[in-house]
Amino acid sequence: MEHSKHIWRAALILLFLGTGFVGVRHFLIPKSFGQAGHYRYDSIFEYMAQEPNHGSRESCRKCHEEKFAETVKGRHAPVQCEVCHAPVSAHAKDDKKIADMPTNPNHKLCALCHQKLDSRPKGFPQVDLRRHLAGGGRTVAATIPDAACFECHSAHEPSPLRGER
Amino acid sequence: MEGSGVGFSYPNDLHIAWGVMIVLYPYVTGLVAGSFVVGSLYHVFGRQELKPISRLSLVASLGFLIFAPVPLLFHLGQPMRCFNIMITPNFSSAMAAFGVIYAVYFIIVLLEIWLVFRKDIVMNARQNRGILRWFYASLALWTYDVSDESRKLDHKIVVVLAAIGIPAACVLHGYVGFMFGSVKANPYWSTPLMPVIFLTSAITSGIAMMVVLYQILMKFGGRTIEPDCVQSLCKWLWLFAILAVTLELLEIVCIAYERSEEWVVIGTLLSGKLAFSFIGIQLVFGSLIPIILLGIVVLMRPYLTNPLRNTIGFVAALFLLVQVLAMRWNVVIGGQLFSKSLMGFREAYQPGLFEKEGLGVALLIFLASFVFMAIFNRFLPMYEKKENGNGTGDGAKTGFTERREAAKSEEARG
Ligand code: HEC
Ligand code: HEC
Ligand code: HEC
Ligand code: HEC
Repeated sequence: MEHSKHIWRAALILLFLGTGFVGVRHFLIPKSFGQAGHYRYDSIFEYMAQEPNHGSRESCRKCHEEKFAETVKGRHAPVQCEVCHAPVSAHAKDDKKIADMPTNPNHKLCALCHQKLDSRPKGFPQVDLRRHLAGGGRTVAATIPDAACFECHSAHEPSPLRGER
Repeated sequence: MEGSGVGFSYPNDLHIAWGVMIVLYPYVTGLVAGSFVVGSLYHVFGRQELKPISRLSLVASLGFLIFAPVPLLFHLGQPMRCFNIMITPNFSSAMAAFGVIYAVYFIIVLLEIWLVFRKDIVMNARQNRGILRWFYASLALWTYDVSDESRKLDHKIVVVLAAIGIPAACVLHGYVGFMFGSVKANPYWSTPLMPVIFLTSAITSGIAMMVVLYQILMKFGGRTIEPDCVQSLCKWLWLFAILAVTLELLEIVCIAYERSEEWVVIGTLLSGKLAFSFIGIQLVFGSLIPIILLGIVVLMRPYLTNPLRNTIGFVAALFLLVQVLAMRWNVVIGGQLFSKSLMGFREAYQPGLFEKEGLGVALLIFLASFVFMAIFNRFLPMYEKKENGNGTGDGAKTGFTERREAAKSEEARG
């Protein structure tokens, strides 16, 4: 047709883009994609080759026997050290301390697990931070001070210290 | 039921993960589909009275289309990964189908706009110099053939494209409804009606957007608002608003009448937590009032003066735009407000103004579509000056940039 030049050009561009996409796609798809499902199969081996960062509390034990003993006999026994601190790989390597371990002495750490929430199981110990702190007629500052909880609870053996409050 | 008894929520079932961005996404997508469908009433079904919005509807559709996926990208923590669904499409995933549907629809709209505006592009290419000329010439693909034969061919293709575009638009938005309708864990969403509800409300919002945009553009461009066009838009708007609202109610009424266990929480939700946005905004302010107003426009046509009709139509359309937004909100947020245990509610959802997925960003994304339309209009005016009636074959004949005017007279001389 005589007057359809523009249409052919547009069609050509679309064709070009289409084949271009198919071509580019060929290079963008990772080699092992789809080998065992809709994902890059090689990623499994990459993950397998990684060194674990966490070592569980057993890894802390050899250097922190005291804290370990204190924790496992208390109510925080189900909580791993690395949950409140940081992975061991950032702190100790080959039986030597390589960097400081964060301690996180902040009520926000406790609130993470103990703030009263609807979605927590009923039996789990949880408190409304403000109301709990105000218990026994104490006044609570507008912003809860960082160390608020440690006055009466120890992080490792959290059962309330006797005689307070 | 009300309040917050401990223990009715499953663990990890506390937060509302789909926020404003996921409300905005179906809204903008709806406007895409809606404005395209109105445009097709002219392009395919030959409703001549809708000619004045034939170009506007296409450009608006493109503008919204470009920004429709942006809320999703903001919502995703890793927006650059969006290309993965294009490169390695997973056809068993409904969400991944979006890549294909979006791409196909984008090409259709782009081609259609190109064909409709081709004569303008060519004329601009002829009349400009330097970089602008190069710009327009490349848009024209370096063929300046605007003979009647070529325009006829263009027109034929436009009709075909628009005809393919209607089902494509329906798929595009029906798919969004499908996203929600197929979440079987959520009894408020999980209904086959969902795609249809989304589709009708999408078309409603699209027509309403045309009523509003058209009138605003005409007012600020100093042109006359075609009464027939507004009347016809109001008629269609009335029809689709009634359809949309009926379907929306039908879904609720079905659940309510069945009185199955989910009604305990859904009923409490609609009459409690969502009372304002569902009963107040979606049903009364957004549905009842505009349907009455549009009914007046349609049924009492002989008694209305043009300005009165335009105003009533404008107000009703604005209300309906709010209604559809409220409906998206009630579905997306409302559907997440109750716990999956169906025993109570999650924490309330209040979007911030300045957060990453907050109201500010949502507003910016929404406005971006209009900025796009304005820029488009700067380079390829949607309306030409009335006097130059010989303009293009498709659009309304009014235009306003001086550059264009000068170009016209130059053409007349040459
Ligand atoms: C519930 C959270 C939590 C758990 C679980 C926990 N810690 Fe701590 N740990 C803290 C906090 C908070 C501090 C800082 C405040 C303090 O000294 O009590 C701390 C401090 C320490 C300190 C430094 C004490 C000092 O005197 O400076 C050591 C060492 C330590 N923890 C080791 C451990 C080990 C080993 C385990 C696992 C057996 C463990 N922690 C488990 C929260 C925790
Ligand atoms: C190789 C031995 C070793 C291992 C394993 C080890 N630590 Fe330490 N850690 C140390 C030494 C040494 C210190 C410094 C003690 C001091 O200053 O009294 C220390 C100090 C700390 C401190 C105090 C803050 C600081 O950095 O000085 C904390 C908290 C701590 N360790 C937690 C842990 C936890 C939790 C683990 C297990 C995940 C762990 N450590 C594993 C050797 C170890
Ligand atoms: C990683 C989650 C976690 C964090 C963080 C945590 N706890 Fe706990 N806490 C637990 C678990 C688990 C229990 C044991 C619950 C049980 O026995 O059923 C517990 C128990 C308790 C108890 C109950 C003790 C009793 O005798 O009733 C107290 C008090 C407590 N934690 C205080 C704290 C304080 C203070 C902090 C902040 C330093 C804290 N917890 C941080 C998980 C956590
Ligand atoms: C003034 C002392 C005091 C302070 C400060 C304090 N607590 Fe307690 N807490 C207690 C006492 C005493 C109990 C045990 C009696 C009770 O349950 O009221 C307790 C109990 C708890 C329990 C167990 C509740 C249960 O139902 O078993 C949790 C969890 C707890 N506290 C968390 C915190 C957290 C988190 C903070 C910091 C925001 C904090 N407490 C600060 C004194 C204190």
